[in-house]
Amino acid sequence: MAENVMAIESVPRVKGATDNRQHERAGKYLTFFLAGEEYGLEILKVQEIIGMMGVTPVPRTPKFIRGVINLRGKVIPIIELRTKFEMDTVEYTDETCIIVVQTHGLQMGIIVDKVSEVMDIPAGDIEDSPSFGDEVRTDYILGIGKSEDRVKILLDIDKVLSNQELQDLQRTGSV
Amino acid sequence: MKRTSVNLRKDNKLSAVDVSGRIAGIAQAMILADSEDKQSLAEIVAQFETLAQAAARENPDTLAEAASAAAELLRNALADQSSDVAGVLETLSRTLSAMQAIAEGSTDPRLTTFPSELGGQGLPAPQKGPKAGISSPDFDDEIFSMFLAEQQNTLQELEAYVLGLEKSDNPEAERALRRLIHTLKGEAGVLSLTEIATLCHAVEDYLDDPERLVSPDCLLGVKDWLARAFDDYANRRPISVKLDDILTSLRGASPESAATPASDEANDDLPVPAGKPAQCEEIAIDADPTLLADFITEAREHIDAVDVHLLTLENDPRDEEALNAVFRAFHTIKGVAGFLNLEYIGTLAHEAETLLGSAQKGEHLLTGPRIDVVFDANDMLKILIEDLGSVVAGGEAPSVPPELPQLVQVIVAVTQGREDEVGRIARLNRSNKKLGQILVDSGAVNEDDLTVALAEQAANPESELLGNYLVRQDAVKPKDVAQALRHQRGELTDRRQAPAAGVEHAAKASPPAEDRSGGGTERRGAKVRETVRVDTDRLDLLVDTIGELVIAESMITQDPEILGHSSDRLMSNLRNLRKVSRELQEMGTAMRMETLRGVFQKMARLVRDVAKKAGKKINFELYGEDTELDRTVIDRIGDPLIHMVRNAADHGIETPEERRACGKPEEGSVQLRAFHQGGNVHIEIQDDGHGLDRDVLRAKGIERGLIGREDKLSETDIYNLIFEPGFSTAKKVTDISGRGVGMDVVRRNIEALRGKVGITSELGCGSTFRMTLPLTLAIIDGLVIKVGGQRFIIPVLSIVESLRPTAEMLSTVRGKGELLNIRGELLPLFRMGRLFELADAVDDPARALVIVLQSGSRRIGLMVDELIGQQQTVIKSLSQAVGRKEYISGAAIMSDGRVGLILDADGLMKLAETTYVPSFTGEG
Repeated sequence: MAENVMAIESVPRVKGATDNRQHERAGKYLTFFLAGEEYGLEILKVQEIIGMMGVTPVPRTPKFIRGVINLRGKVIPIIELRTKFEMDTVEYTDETCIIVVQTHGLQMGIIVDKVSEVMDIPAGDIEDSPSFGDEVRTDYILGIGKSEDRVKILLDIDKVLSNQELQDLQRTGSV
Repeated sequence: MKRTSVNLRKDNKLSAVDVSGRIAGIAQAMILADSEDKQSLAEIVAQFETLAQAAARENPDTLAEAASAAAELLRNALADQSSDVAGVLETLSRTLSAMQAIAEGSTDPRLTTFPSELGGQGLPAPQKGPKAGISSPDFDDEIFSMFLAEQQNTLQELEAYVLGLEKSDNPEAERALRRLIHTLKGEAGVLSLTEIATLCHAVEDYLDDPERLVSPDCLLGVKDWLARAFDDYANRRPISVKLDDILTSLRGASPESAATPASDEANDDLPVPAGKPAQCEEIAIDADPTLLADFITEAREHIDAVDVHLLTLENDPRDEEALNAVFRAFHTIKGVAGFLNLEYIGTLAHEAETLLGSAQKGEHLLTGPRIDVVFDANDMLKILIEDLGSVVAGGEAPSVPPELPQLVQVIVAVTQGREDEVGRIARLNRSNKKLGQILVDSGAVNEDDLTVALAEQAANPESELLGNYLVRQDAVKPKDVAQALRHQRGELTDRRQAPAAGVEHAAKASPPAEDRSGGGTERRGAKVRETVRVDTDRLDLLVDTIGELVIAESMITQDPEILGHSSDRLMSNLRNLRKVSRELQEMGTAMRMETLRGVFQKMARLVRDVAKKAGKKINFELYGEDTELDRTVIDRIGDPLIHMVRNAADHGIETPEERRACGKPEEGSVQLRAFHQGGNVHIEIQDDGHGLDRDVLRAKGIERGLIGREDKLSETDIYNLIFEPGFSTAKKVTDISGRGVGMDVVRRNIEALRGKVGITSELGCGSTFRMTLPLTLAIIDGLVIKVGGQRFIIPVLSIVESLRPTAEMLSTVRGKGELLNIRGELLPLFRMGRLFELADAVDDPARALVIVLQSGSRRIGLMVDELIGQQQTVIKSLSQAVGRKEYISGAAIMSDGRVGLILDADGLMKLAETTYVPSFTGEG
């Protein structure tokens, strides 16, 4: 019984394996601005967008963890994406937003300068991220989306905060 | 009305047959009778009279007398406008059941006893035996409900007194016990609960008798009996427990018949012969109904889990995880069943466990007939548990299906590798009668009706179950169908139909009563307490949402604009809003919290029973049973606690002889303690038994290949071996424990709660098991402080005092750190601003405050900027994404909606030590 089900499931997977990556990348993205550049997040990873609110810093955590907030009774961590990407921090404005995402099975908020729009990017408009040599980490970039004449950096939010980092983070707490 | 006439015609036809036909006729007429319809009632009176005449000719007098008394009763009721016709009809329907039983030649006194109400109408003394039914229908419902509600407390007190009395001959406890019984007797007398009053009277006699030593067993029996009886009263059904047994035991005769073990039958070589309808053996259930209900709920979960794991095993017989899970489930069921005296369930689980155990040891794979019998065993458990469930719900004693001993035989045969015998055993027992045939045989339905019903059932493609159909057609009473079904199940075995039909039966349990009450007087008012099981996620969401409401509310009421334009009306409305939202918040938090009292109390009884069984003397003490814990946690620590407490009592404490030999007092001691510490709840089980023998554990671990011969192990590592699945040092396996599954259950359960369990032990002096449980949602009292513009919460429990330091109190140890001298005591002082790298913290100690924290025996001073105040907060876990921070035990939502971090004193000290590396010893 169980074997049958597996067999049926595996058929399309085998078929699509060749252009798997491109197909997976096509879809709806939430785009936002960070230091003048436009970025995109897969819409399925996004849970909601909330305005900037009081963040409680947690002592002795990495700089890019801005702190925690109360999301309707749930305490979730907030990541300062600018710090994470080693950009200068700026004063928050009315447009500063927190995008709540699901990653590694956890809820997390990321602070961005401004949320732009939700747009459909077809597979043909997505290119692999260019290589900058071994020194530069680009694995958290899903691809580069082109639409109109702007370029959007599509982020793989699961890799922005890698498993390794999460583990390190959890270890930092124990003394 | 049309239906009535049709059926009445049928009555006439039936009445020509014989007495039992007449009885059936009246029964039908009664079902159709409307308490408002004088005409039909008068017809019933007439029918009773005819029955009396017919019975007088050919049957024992009792029938005739009962029939004429019934006619009399109903006639009087009809004549008297004010009387309760519906109540009378109920009495009559019970009378009819008894008549039916007599006409069928039954001698079971419980079936053939007429309701006592008949006696009041001039019937010669009713037959001897316990009375069926609530003795007097004329007491006030409200008073009765109040009485029942109070009894919950009474019973708890009773048990506490008895256990107290057992511990020491305390004259105060005995006096309290007497008062309690006496009050109960009085109240029962007022409410005409004769059985209760009789029992209380007997207990008083028993206590007064100077010749007799008071036996706690006996008194606990009384308590259990009362609990059952109250339960029956509350559900408005006849008392299902026998008064005689308990009275006999009070009078000194040993009530050997209390529990009829089914296990004996398992050893009989010849199973029940085929052909003859098997006599269902009734089991006396003497366990506390609440314990029983808990057991049923738990067992159901276990059974479901076993099904899932067995399916996995069927695909992959080598899946150890699944095998262990199945084993644990059977083990737990066995343990609790043993404790509840449900030997027939225990035996089944025990044999299944033995089979699984040999599979676990790798003696064979669980395939073919072996896994089949485990499935069978699980199915059988399902049936037994459901039966038990109907006992708790419906009060009827369950019967052991005759196939049970057979199944046990099969399991044993399979375990011993004699698969070939399985077929033989099964063949011997097979006989399958159709439901209709049984009904006809028992006289509940006549053949014509059955034929019609069967034809109709066949013609209709979406046919319902035969039993339901017959009931709907009023051809047969639901009770008869249920009986026949049980009969059929007993004979083997349409398992799917039986429970399903059983449920149907329960749903329409008393159609006659419903038909009659028509006008809408709800008579089932006396439910004591009803609970609903709610998904805890929903509860969490509710509590969270309430929290948000409270915050939103305070943001509105504190808004300067609103405060500025205040009108009196607006203000009073806002106050009202605030009041309501606070109440909501309190209710929300209270919903999640429960004290450990219930769980602990269960343990008291458990220890007592284990001690009795093993012939040990154990003094069991409870501390901190008012400690509050999240309901989910409470729900889930029951299992591990049972295992640990049982281990302590069964394995830990030695027999009195052994204890005397080691120079210890004969009476062992087991202590169960609960307390808060460091933001956790700790539960400790401490015994003064022989402790754990490290060398034995080590040897066993090597033997089982868990550790290498050369491994260097810490004390803790060695003790932790006992948590390995299947690890047991017990020399023999008892029906309570010894297989080594228990501790595996303990660890898994506690780890699932993100808790820890640890052991300390000293050979010859005893062991202590300590569970550390996080208080996921537990509330703590916290002190809100401010450092560098940030707020933190410190649990009040960790705080010794707070003070503003003077310059003289401070001193610095060169290169190490600062010290604070409080009344001669030197404490290391840490500045929280530096510890947490907070920029704008107050740096001048003279302007700051010092909070003295304590964890374990250590104390430190913590310098903070200011104190804001004390408040109760609900702990929320800090998201995993932030990582585990030992110095932060959780987060709380503050009144402005922001998050406040809760500090952990113990973790804070560790952090401080590693950051500063101060010298604690150098005082110079």
